[in-house]
Amino acid sequence: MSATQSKGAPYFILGDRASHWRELPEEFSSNSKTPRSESILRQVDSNTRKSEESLGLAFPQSETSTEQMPLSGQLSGQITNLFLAASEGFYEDEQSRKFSEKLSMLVKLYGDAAINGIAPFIIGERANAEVASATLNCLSHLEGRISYNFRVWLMERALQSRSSWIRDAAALGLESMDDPAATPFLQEALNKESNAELRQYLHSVLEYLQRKR
Amino acid sequence: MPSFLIKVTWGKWQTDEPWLPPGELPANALFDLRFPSNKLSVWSIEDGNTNLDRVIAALAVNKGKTSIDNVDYVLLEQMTIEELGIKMEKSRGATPDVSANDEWHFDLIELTVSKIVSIARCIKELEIFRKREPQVKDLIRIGLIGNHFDLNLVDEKLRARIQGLQ
Repeated sequence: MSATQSKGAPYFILGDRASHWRELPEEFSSNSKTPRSESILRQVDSNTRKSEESLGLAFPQSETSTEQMPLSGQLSGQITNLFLAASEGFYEDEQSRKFSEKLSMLVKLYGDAAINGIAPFIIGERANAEVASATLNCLSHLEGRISYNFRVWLMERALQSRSSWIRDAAALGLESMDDPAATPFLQEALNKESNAELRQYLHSVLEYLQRKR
Repeated sequence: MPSFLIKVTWGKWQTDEPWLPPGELPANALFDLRFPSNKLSVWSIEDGNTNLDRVIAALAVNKGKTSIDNVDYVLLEQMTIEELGIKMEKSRGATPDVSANDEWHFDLIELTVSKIVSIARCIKELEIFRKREPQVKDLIRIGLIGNHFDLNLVDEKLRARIQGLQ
């Protein structure tokens, strides 16, 4: 505790994001030999392992052997840093836009390995609903076939999220990807959905994709 | 009496978070009500919703947008705004639909914290309407046919997507 705090009640400095790091152990400090992003990633992995296991987070088989890239430390670090920065919120459209641009770039560069790195933030609920929703929106609008099956898989898994905002974003993403193969997953989500408005939205998306069959 | 359209994000207004006390709204919802200079941008929707689709299309291609997305919105009756003691003034919108900007854009002005919270409380009780992405694409197609948009004001990426709709 600092000298100023010891004289009175503890206080908080609003907006001082750097304070998030003050109580972290040595390995997270800037003096540590381990890069900060890698340390954070290890912690994230450890924290998410249980929830991933309970959700059965098994990554699907790659479409081709060349697409299954290992998750390199560098890529992990980039993804973690991107989500950490976004976790402070999108106060301006520009922030959301930059997040989407960087995310798109990572998927274009690293393909399936990038989705592999992103998945724990969405399915393991390490990202807040707003960021997860922006991620699903961005992934659904990527042009071409880059990691297509993996992106659809992520949307389908996100339909099971505890957050109605994320479930909605997943349904919108599947609609945007225009893939009738997603209908069984949407039907399952519709059967389980407790939010009346979202049930209505899911029904509309389902009808739309069924007409495409 | 006309109503005012406010664009929202459905997820921000959900009250099913386990930590949220009954009757409360998540603070995040206030980010849907951006109020630079204590003003909130709204769109006047005529009786019978005759201009609703055009306003939605204008918002769908608005500055800063790079993809075609669903549009979620609420319609707040003018009477409700007046009952809250909120002043409004006609102002020019900033979407690529120049005619819509001139005809239907208003600002709710001189907003205070309590007035913003009052608006949020009203929205909480309203139905959130949605135009889904395929519907928005249809509205944009209509806008293109009617030459409603100044495409120079549309983001380059979105412009490419829009041109792909034709």
